[in-house]
Formats: sequence, structure tokens, C-alpha cells
Amino acid sequence: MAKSMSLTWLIARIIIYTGTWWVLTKGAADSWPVGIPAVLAAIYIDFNLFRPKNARWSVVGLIAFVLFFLKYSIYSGMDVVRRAYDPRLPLDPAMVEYPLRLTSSAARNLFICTVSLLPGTLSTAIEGHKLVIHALDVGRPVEHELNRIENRVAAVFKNSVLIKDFKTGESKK
Amino acid sequence: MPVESMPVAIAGQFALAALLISIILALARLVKGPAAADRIVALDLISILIVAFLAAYSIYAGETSFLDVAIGYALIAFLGTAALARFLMRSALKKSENREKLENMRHYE
Amino acid sequence: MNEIITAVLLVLGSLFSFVAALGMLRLPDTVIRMHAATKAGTLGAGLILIGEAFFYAELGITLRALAAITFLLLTAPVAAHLIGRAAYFSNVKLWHKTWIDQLAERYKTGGYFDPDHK
Repeated sequence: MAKSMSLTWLIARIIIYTGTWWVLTKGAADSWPVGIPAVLAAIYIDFNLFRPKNARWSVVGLIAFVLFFLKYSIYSGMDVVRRAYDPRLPLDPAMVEYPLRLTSSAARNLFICTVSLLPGTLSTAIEGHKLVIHALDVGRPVEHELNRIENRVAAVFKNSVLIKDFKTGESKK
Repeated sequence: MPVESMPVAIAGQFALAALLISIILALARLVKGPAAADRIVALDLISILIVAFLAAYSIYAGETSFLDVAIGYALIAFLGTAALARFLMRSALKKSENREKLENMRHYE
Repeated sequence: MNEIITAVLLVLGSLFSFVAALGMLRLPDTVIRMHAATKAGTLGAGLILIGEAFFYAELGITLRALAAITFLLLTAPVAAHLIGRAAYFSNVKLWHKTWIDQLAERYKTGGYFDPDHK
């Protein structure tokens, strides 16, 4: 993926980093001799670490994802409460292999972190395109829930995610 | 030292006490855990609990600089946990039968 | 009003953290304990940090609290992932009631994916 620096990317990064520095130092005027090199260093590191590809974010998808994430985070906390306090420990755990349908690495990272934080699943290992997940309760439809999470993650990115159907081998969006 | 408002002071004391007990419970797992991985998980939980303790104390004492300490500590503690996990994996890979497992896994870092 | 929200979030956050630590003692398996630490521990710390953002109601504090929450949410699953892999390679036995059907025929060495653990 070519590293192309577009002007909007540069302006956006300058605004973000300068704004962050300004808020953190509460607008102190004598902090800028340190601030300006820090902002430039941050932009340089940002450019080299994260290749600025044309990743389109969908704002609607992002807001929906954040709300979904918040709600299910609370559920996952309460789920742990229920399992830790119940003396019979109603656990039915399993190691499940799940073929990933997302292809871009940013989407996959978001999916793996989300899976680990949501109730009942913890991602353990990755092999190629398969993700090994330790699920707490196989009585629940784990694969179906993971499909839904993947759809929500795919809704956050607009055009850089390609979801492939492994059985038929064709890609559907 | 505590803040003026009454509900926050009471809640802050409760939170600090609960977090302290939680750290002691996690320490119990640190001592007891039969495998090395159990101890690393206990250390990971202790670092998250310490971040929570620092944030709660920042509210209770009315001093905002503890939040910066919490951010710095979270960064360093994550580095420590990652280094410990990597060390455990390297020392496990020294045994030859574990290297077969490694070749079975096609994707390695 | 902000104070009530902060007080409630403090109590909730510390209770979730307490449950995470309690789960560390009571849950029967390394990976299941990682579930508790990652989910309940991060949630507890996140709630307390949000309570701090509500208490001070300044932009700088709110930004820093959000940065701390984002960092916790990104690093706790990664730490769980790394520890899970290290535990697999160091032959940690899973809880005896774990189902490992799909992987039993692929990994022949003991440890996580031991076919006798059914």
C-alpha cells in the first residue's frame, strides 16, 4: 500500500496534534518551544507507522459502533459478575475456530479487540485468516454473534473492507 | 485532603477500599497460581486495578495530577506485561516439543 | 448533579473491579481468568475514569481521561492475546470441561489442544 500524503491528511493531523497540545498545556504561551517540535515529531511518527491510505470512515457506522460497544461492554461486565458469584459456575467453555471475513488489517484489529471485550469471548490466537476464540458458553450461537459483530465493524469503514465468502469464493460487500 | 462534596467523599472512600481489597485478592492469585501464565494474568489485573486506584484517588484528593500518573503507569505496565508474556513464550519454545506446535501454527507474529 | 454521577460511577467501577479480582480467585482456568480481568477489570477502570471526567468538567481532564480509557481498551485485549499464546506454548492445562473438538485433530502435542481433555 503506497504511502501517499494527501493535503487533507496533513491538515487534519496538524489540527489534531496542535489542538491536543494546546488543551493539555491549557494554552500556556511558553510551552510552544517544546510543543512545536513535539507536534512535528508526532506527525512524522504518525506518517511512518500508520500508512495513510484512503480509509474512509463512515460517521454513522462509527457512532452506531460506539453505542453498540458501550452497551455490550456493560453486559460483559455483568456477565462476569454473574459467573463469578454463582457457586455452580454455569460455564461451558470451548475453543472455537472462526474464519475471519474482514480483510483489512485495521478492521481486523478492531474486530479482535472488540471480540475480547464483549461478553463470553476472548481471542486467543491467529493463524492466517482463522481466529481461535475461547468462548465461555457454547450453548449460545457464537458464530452467529461473531458474524453480527463483524458486520458492525465493517460498517465503520466504508470502502477499504472487502468481505469474502469463503464457501463460494466471491466477494460481497 | 478529601473534597468538599459529601457524596463524592463517601463514594471515594468506598471505591478506594474496594480497590485495595481487589488488589489483595489478585495478589493471592499471584502467589497461588500454579502456572507462570496465571501469575502474568494476575499482574495484568493488578496493573489495571492500580490505574483505577490512581483515578479514584485523583477524584478523592481533588488533585488532577494523579491522572497523568495513571496514564504513564498504564503505558509502562502494558510494556511490562507484554515483555513478561514474550519471555514466557521464549522460555517455553526452548523445549523442542513446543517447536512442533510452532511449526503447526502457520502464522507467527 | 455532576457529583452524584461521579459518586455512582465510582461505586460501580470499584464493584466491577472487585468482581474481576474475585473472579481471579474463583474461576477454574487460566483463560477464563483472563476473561474476567479483561472485561470486568477494564470496565471498572473505565467507569472510574469517566467519573473523573464528570467530576472536574474541564476539557483537559476529559481529554486525558478519554485517552486513558482508549489506551486501556486497546491494550488489555492485546495483553490477553499475548498471554494466551504464551500459555498455549507453555502447556497450560485447560479446565476439564472445555470442548476442543475442532482443534483436536490438528494439534497432536499436549497442552491446550489435548484431545484427552473432553
